[in-house]
Amino acid sequence: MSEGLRSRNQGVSSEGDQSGRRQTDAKTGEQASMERETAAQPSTSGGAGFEQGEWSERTASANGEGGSFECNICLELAQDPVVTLCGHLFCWPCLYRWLRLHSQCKECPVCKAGVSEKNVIPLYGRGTSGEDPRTKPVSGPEIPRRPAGQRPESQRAPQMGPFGFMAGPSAQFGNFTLSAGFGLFPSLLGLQWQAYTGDPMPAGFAAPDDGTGVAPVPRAALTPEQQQQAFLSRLLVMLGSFVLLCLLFF
Amino acid sequence: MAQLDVNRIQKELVEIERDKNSGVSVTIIGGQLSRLTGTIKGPIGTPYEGGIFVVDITLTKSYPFEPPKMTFKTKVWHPNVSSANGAICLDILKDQWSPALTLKTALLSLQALLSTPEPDDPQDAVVAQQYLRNYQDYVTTARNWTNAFATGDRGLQEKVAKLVEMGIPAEAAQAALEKAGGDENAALEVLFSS
Repeated sequence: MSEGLRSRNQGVSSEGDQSGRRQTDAKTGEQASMERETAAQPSTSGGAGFEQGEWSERTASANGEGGSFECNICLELAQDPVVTLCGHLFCWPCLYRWLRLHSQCKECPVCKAGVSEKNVIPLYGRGTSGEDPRTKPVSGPEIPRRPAGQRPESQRAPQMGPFGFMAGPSAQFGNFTLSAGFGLFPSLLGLQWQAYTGDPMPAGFAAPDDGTGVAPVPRAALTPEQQQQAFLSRLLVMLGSFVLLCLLFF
Repeated sequence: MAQLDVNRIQKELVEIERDKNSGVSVTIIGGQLSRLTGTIKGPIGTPYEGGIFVVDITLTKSYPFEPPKMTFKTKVWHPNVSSANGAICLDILKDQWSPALTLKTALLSLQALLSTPEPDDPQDAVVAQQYLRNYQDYVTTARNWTNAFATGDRGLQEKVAKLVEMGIPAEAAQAALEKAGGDENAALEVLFSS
């Protein structure tokens, strides 16, 4: 019985007050499940609408008490929120004023970790306009635009890993063959490409599994000796095939 | 320059009001948010125990980016507080201030300063010398000052009011209390024996 109620309640909340749910999600899982437990009780007497009201009320009060999204300087709900690398939330104008005008050694006001204007992360909530914060009336000094977010490439996106020459661009090289007579070239080109392009991914990222059965190995795992060996063997293959071609044609 | 951040100060006052167990309080003087009075309780287990210390708080327009100006209005015998004018030597009220600190945390820091003096970085050299060379004398003086100044007029007035309620004339009650060193029961004895 209570199991069913709980799941129904979850359903309602996920359709309904989304922002409320997000706030709850921000809390620890334990707390959230406890709230769901308690929120499930009034649903025996009330309908879905009542439940929703309960939810938004509950989350609003939780937010008011917890203050999880308040700027650490002005104590208001953060405007143009930015978060420092140490995880502390501020309004961008507040943090900028502190770092620029008042802080002596550019420290996080909460934990005194080093903070620079460049290494803070902006938070973009849902439905926020891309309005330039500079156009907003701000008292005091001119507040520049808050720094943009960083976008590391997704690991799931199809990428050319150092050992992935069977997939992606190398496959296109394979399709590029003009006739059977030049059947040797594609792999040759593939090898050349392999040998002379830089590593497109930062060290430490595993290459995506391209289904070749070869275990993806990060480039950083190779020792310089191994790299040299690989290079030499490729050079040898190239020379060998060149000699073979010479023998065939001349 | 910027205006006084009224919202933040009001939020702080509400928060202090809500948490009555913290041992600190702040009141506004004359309807101006830039002039406030804070009180802290003397920490238990120190010579300041039992005292209520009044702190004068002035906020600049740059608050909370600049520290609040705080001085002890109540006379305190403490190495880091001037015995003459109540000036306080505390890093967070100077270069270690951070806008994430509040009036409440600053007052709590003052309370902590009362329990852990820093004689190596003194504000009042005489007190610091005494603290380092003759600790027992320091404790005695600090306790005497607490009893003399920090139990406060308010305490005295309350006691007078109590005695007046018992039907004793205010003037006589005050004289008896002064004679009895502020102790109500002793004052009653003085009054009834005469």
